Amino acid sequence: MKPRYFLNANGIGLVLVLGAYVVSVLTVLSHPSEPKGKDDTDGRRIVRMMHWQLEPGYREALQRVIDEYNALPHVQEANIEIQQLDVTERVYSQILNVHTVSGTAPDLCQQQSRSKTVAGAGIAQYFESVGQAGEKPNPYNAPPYLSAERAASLANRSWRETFVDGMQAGWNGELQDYFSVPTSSLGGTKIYYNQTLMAEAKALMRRAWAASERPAWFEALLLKPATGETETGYVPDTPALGEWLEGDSPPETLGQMLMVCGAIWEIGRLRDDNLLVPISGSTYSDVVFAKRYLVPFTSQYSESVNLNQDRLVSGAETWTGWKAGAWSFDDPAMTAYFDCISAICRQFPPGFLGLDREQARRRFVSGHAGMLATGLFDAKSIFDACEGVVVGSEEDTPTSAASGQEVTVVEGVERRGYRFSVGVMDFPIPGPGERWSSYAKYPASAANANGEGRFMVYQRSPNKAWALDFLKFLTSLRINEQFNRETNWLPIIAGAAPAPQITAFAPDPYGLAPDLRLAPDGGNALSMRTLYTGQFKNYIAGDISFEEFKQRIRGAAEDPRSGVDRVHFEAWRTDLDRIRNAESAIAVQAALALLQDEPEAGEGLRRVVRRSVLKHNGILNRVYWQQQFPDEPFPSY
Amino acid sequence: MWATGCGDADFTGQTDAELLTQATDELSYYNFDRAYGLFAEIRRRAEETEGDSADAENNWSRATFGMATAAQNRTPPSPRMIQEAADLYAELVERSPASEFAPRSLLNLGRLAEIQDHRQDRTDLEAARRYYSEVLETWPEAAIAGEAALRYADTFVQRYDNPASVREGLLFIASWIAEQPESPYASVIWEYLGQVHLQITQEPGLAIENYRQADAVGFIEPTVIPSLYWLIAQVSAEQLNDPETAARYYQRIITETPRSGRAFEAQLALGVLAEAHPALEIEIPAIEEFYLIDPADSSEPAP
Repeated sequence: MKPRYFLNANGIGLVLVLGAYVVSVLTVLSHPSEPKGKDDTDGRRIVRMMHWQLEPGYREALQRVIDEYNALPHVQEANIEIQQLDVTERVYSQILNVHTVSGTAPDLCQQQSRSKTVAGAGIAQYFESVGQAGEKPNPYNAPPYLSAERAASLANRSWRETFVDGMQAGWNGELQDYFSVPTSSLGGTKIYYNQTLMAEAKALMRRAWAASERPAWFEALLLKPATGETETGYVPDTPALGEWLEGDSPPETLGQMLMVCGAIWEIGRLRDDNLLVPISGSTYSDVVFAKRYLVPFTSQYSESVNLNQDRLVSGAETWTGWKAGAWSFDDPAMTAYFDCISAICRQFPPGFLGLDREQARRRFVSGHAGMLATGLFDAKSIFDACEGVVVGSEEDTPTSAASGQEVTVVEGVERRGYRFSVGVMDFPIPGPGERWSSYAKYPASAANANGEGRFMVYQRSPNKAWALDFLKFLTSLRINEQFNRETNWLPIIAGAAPAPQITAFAPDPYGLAPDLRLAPDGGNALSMRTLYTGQFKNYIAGDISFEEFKQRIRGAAEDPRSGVDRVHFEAWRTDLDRIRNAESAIAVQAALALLQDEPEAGEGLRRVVRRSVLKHNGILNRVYWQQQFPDEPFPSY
Repeated sequence: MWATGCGDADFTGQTDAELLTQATDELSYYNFDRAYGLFAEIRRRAEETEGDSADAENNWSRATFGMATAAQNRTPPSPRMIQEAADLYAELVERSPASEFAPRSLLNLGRLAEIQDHRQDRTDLEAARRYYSEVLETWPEAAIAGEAALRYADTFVQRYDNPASVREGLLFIASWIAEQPESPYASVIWEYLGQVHLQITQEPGLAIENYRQADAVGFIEPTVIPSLYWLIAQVSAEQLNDPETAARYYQRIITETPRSGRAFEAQLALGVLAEAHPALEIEIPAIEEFYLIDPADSSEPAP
């Protein structure tokens, strides 16, 4: 009989689990439940700052700012120490919710819109207003913290006015006040491209262009007049195409980008590389492309569907406009939009809807994709992984990812761990004469891009003044410039210079208003949003045809219980809730003025009264309905 | 304890002034449950104070008003709490009609009548109108009169399926602002008139006239200024045949709100206007870029 060993694989696992449990319990029990803000070793007051930015370089850059702040004489004198707490994004909102409600949240918390405790008026229950502080100058924008020359450019400006976005990212429309302070700007989403692969694709196309008998794959990329219902190819066979092929420039038009995609597929075939794809798509990037191109294709409808004539077309307005006949899926512009998005998604890897953002990033940096659409937040990790580090630079350390890797000389510079150079370009629109050029003439603007990395001061923090003071330090001109150059993000303070390699991400003000377009998946489209999103995914994955897509959407939209009528009705109900929320803001602002013996009808109160009175107790949705459908009674459920 | 807002908390050792400060802070945090309990305690103490005391009376007014405000806004709203808020406001007006809290209490009674606070609640425009009217008649020169005038007019405008009622509301508010042009609510009233004329009665000429009046005194909500400029420009160009006004507002979108996302479209619109009206010599301003600093500049070292 074989002896039975307790310490088999299962036994070891059990011991490890039990051990981890015991350690966790002891760790929890060993933490005192006294109010935070006091260090249990040397009496220092600890000001904690919680965020979820785990991108490479962010924590290090923030730590350098923290170290500089902690070393300031007045901070040392007060025995204050800032510490950062980094939490993965997956659980951030749960942690924030639990700790804000239980009174144990860190002094500074990054704002995440998914968190319930910061939604709408709820934010005022847990976080401090920074509105009043924003009206005073930032002391760290003056000597000795800043040179007199640079300080002069900010003289007489309030803290709020020093922000590129005027601190709009921290504005709460319902409460008419500022509740968070942005520390960076992310600019617009861009397309990163592999310069080596791009050059190879262009060289391949040049040869095909010049060949006496052009290969079929290349011919398929050239625009052909419509013989059936749709056109084929992307770019007309003109001398302009030849000129672009001869040069080194990346695609300047959507047609050229799709031609590069065709060439990359051909490179993959020639190399027998099944992994190589033109665009490293994922379930994240289909939305990026879909939303980006929705603006040029559908902004023409915005004037007729934007019922309340504000700065964005909502989901409910979009579907009400559909019912009223302001737009249709059969319109040539809409057909062109869906054809365009389908063509782009065909350049993604097969099964892209099962891939996440990180998988897409890995495919790109490993050289198995020509392009990747993502934001500035991925810039540092992409540049580092693809271009390595400059030999002898601060980043060339024994612990860096490139350590021990081969050295390559790139444009006269020695780089360790170099794979390929990365370029950054905008989402191109169709060039003159190209496919879809009649429907999409201008790109979407990124001019209204607001700040990111927004931090709030916890209302029950015993260190509110210091938390706010650190935010002022972090958003002072010199520190914000230094911090964002190190994280490879864009500074949020006017006059701060971004790192040279990321200037391409600076918000481009040239283009159409990004929120004035159809929004069939807009937040308040409710069941139509869910249905549209699902069927859209089916369509771009090639699981259903455009005809099937339209049929399914039409059927659902016409359903009297859950279709467009219901969406409009619910928009009216939501408006009633908002009116009551505005009422709370009015009541509080008015009461505070009276209880604190301040003049009534201050600007804040007048703004919330304005918001309330322009909603006319919710009748506008009924007015719009009557104007659009005079023979139909307002829906009721 | 706090959740109910009931007064079983121990406030021993805390002065009235401390409690009042605490209650006001809670109100500013929208913690209506806590504020309610604290104001209730201050009110209880004021009522128990023997003899006439100006301080006690003052505390009673403040606490009653604060308690009513908290009750009005506690969530979820309940018929009992809404009724209690109404009773407290009414009691305050009756006991201290000259108090600084009286006009807001009356106006809030109007809001309680007008707004549907819970499922069983119904809008009572007639009752609301009476309260607003009383504020207007009693305090015609006070800042709150502007708000009361707007609310009063809107009780007529809300009857959108009755053109005569809408007209009555518009006439009232237009004549009121003509008599009170210095009201702190002037901008809101002009904008209100512009919106009702544009979206409800569909009179673009009157709408733009009123929007421009609001602009003359200054729009109070900065976040909507680009949309309003666009609206004025579009309607002026396309419905009123007024290219000069249109051009002026398109230009202001570019120069005053370059980050609104509409500057580029304003440039396009100005191009169309310039071509259609060469005699006007319309200028198309450039859009301000985001980062004017040369990014090659090295980061400044710490002084």
